[in-house]
Amino acid sequence: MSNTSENPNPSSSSAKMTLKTSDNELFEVEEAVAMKFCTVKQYFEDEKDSDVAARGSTTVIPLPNVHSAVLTMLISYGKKLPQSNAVADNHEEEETKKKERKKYEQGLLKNLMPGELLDLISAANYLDFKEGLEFFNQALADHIQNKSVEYVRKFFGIKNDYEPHEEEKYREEYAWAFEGIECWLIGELKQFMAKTKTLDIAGTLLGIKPALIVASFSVRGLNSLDSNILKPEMIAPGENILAAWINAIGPTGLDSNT
Amino acid sequence: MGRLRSYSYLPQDLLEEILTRLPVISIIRFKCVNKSWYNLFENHTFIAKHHRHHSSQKNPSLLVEVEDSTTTPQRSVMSMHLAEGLNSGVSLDMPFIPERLVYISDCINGIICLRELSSRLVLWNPAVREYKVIPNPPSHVHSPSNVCYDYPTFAFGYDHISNDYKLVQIGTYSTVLYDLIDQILHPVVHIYTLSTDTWRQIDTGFDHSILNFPGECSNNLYLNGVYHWPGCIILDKHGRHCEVIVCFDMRDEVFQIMKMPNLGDISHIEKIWKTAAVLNDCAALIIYDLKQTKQFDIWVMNEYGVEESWTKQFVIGPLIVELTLHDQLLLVDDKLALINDKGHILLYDFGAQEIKHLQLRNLPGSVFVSQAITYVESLVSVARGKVEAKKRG
Repeated sequence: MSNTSENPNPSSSSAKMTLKTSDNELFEVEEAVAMKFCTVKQYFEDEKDSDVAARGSTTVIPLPNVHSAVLTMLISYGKKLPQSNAVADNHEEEETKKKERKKYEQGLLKNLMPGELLDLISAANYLDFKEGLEFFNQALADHIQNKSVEYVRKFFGIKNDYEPHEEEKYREEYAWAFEGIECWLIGELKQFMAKTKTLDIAGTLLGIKPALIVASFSVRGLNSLDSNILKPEMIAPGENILAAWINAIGPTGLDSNT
Repeated sequence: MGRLRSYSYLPQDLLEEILTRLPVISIIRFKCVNKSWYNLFENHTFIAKHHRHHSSQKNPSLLVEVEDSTTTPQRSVMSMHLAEGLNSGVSLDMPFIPERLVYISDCINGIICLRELSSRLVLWNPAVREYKVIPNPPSHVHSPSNVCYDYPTFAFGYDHISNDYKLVQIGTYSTVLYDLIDQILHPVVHIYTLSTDTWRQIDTGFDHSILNFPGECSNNLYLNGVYHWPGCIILDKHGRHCEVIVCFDMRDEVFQIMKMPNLGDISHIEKIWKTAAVLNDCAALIIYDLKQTKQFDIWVMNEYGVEESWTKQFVIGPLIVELTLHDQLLLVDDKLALINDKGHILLYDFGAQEIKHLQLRNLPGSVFVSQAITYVESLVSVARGKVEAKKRG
């Protein structure tokens, strides 16, 4: 997914561009796709005009407002768009392609959390990626259209400035517009349940090289001097794991942590 | 894939882009979100943008008056997506019971003019569920006994300069001699404007040689703020006449004549049936030869007002379908929709060049479609007259 920027062959024919995200990841992208991001296109064209960068050199275009996770998705969507220089297909081929794209788009949306849509829209707007913006704007509109007022307020972080009696009056007058809308809490729960993942036990893996190493400061076995000192029955990889704790007692028991 | 911040802050114009994509019912509900959203949704620019967006979508809707012997009540008015037929139909709350409905005008900016049995006229926005009863037009001047007054006909239109909706009533008088129409006199034209909620009389600006005023049938066409219908002009006193398109400009409130395409010598063909429609924002004429060729000729006026620009763009058929004069022909996007009174929709797709049969309901014998128009929702308010930005808070 992310590569370093070295391009050993400056004269390679499939022109690629390198984009650098806000978290300093580098993406090598085909020019045809990158040009759909008009901000990138503008940058590239400005660079071309200046004498400094020659074509095909490893110019890295910085995108300080776009995170790598978001860019991955936008690039993947950009690749699936019909190319502007493609030969015109006959009607049947066009229909098949349309159906394929629709399937891809539905799959894409299924795995997205609604909040991620906002990030995608912001990024697509910054990049001036018209097709992406159109698609994700519509996706967000489709997502919120049958939601309740409370959901929309929470989603966009909007404060309700109506007096209770004003809101009540409006809801009564336009009751028909509020029919059949599920309470936002139920909606959130449903969404959460749909996205829950289950862990499967993979079993014991043998022969993995290099084997994971237990850190020097972690407990690793029975103390040879005193067998009352216990070893961990189960360990998991990772350092600096943030775990939940109750407010009453801080994570380390130190006063500074409460 | 992780999220980085709680809620990305969306700039206002981007938020508006998203909100214009919402259906009207969602927008009515979300007016309750906060006062700023309420004001946005009442704003005239937003309403226009919203309607423009929905007009350009490729999922055309129809508003149909349906009589279904299997349901109670039997008559209803529904909106439906053309591609899905009546199964996607949503019954609409009407200002009066459907049994009293006589006529549905074209839908302009989401607003429809209805005429009721008692001749009452109503402006209706089904999406917002608002309607306005139009005060009775001035009754005709009491005329001498040899003058008879034909039933007036109406044209509904929109003046985009003053953002106002107008209804034109055209009443024709003719002198009667021995129970036959002798001479047709000056038509009397009154115009109603929504903003003033009043009727006024205007000078017609054309002489009485024009016959055929807009009838309550599908031959009328509203485009570019001008109301068109097929008419006839008497050329001389020998009774020779020629067919033209009569237009009424809603802004300037004047009548004009436009030439029909040169159809060649069609005088020998009986039962030529003409319907006016809009295709790709151009005026189009659908000529159907019922007897002989059984094919549809679609003429399009590529340049508005330029008579030479009439071109026979499509020829469809011959179709082996039984058509009657009661059937409705509509041009919806790039498809020709034929709705016959048995409740079947025939869709001809110009792009694919294929005909699709759509059943409106599972029991074909039970459904009778009496009227159909293309329909796009809008937020335009009729109850308060002219659309104004009403501020709250």
